[in-house]
Amino acid sequence: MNELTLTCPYCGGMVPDNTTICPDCHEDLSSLIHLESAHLIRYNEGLALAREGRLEEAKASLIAALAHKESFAPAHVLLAKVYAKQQCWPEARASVERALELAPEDEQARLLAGEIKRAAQEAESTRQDAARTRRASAERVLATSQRDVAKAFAFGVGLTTFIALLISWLGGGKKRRS
Amino acid sequence: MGHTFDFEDSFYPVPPAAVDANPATALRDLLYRVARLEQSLGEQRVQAVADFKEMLLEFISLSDDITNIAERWGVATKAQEAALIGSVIALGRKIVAILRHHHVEPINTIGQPLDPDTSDVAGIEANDGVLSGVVLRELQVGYNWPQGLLRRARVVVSSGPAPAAQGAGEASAGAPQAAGRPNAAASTKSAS
Repeated sequence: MNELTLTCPYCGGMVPDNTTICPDCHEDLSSLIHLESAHLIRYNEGLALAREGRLEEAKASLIAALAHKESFAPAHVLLAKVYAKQQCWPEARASVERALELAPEDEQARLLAGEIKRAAQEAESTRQDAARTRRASAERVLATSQRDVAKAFAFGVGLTTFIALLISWLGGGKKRRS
Repeated sequence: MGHTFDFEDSFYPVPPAAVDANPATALRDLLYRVARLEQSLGEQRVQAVADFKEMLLEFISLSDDITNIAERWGVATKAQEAALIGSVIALGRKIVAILRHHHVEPINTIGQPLDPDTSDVAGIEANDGVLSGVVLRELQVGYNWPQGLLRRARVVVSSGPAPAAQGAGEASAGAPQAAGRPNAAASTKSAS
């Protein structure tokens, strides 16, 4: 899994991937390895943060990893997962598609792309269901309120008629007494 | 949401020293080392030129010795002597070729006005046919090389016509040339 294969710039000797000191000339190559593996360091940071659930910070680290090496497909895959966890489906889809462009044979990326597509569709249908439910609920509320208004209007009309009749009846009684 | 979104990916192994390294510090150290090396290189280059000059001067001295030997020997009377002197001359030519290979060129002074930048006056002689200040012969050949002057020439220069000849000239041509005489006398004195 390690990408690091380093030739010592001082003596031209091969440097094993588990050390930062050239075995031939004993020069310290840690800074050079730091620069050459900056994308891996950022990726590891991003992965650790994502496992802790600190998704925003993980995203920043992964974007930094890709700034160092845009063609590093595993960072695109991991970033797609972070976006998926945050339910940012367009971004997740873009990231996984870039990963597949870079590594078309990557089975994990292919599975992830399918999963993101399914999850995005589910999310979309859920959103549409929720919208339908909200619309139906709103329509029900509207119909109920319309019915209430009609009832109130009828009641108002009845009440007005009753009061008018009452006034008229009381007025007729006074005239008869006088 | 399925398990595909879990973060089960593996970490990439990076040596801890590389993770903690500070490239800016390393770059500063490297620049310091480069500066020291450049300084050392400059000093060594100067030293190398000085050593090379010394070696070329030794070659030139050797060439001078061979020339002197050949001149002293004169005409060989025996075949063995002739072969020996021939070998010595061949050796001298080889040394001259080596000097030429290193772009060491003799300075052409004879018949030229004295150049005080390249030549020292070793003597002054009166000469009827040569103007004053013109080099008559070389006691030591001077050499140039790509870095400049390698060895100064030591030359004998003409002081112009001898006083007697000059007097005759005056008698025939009149007084106007008499002004040059004290200078010539002075230069002869200084050379001696």
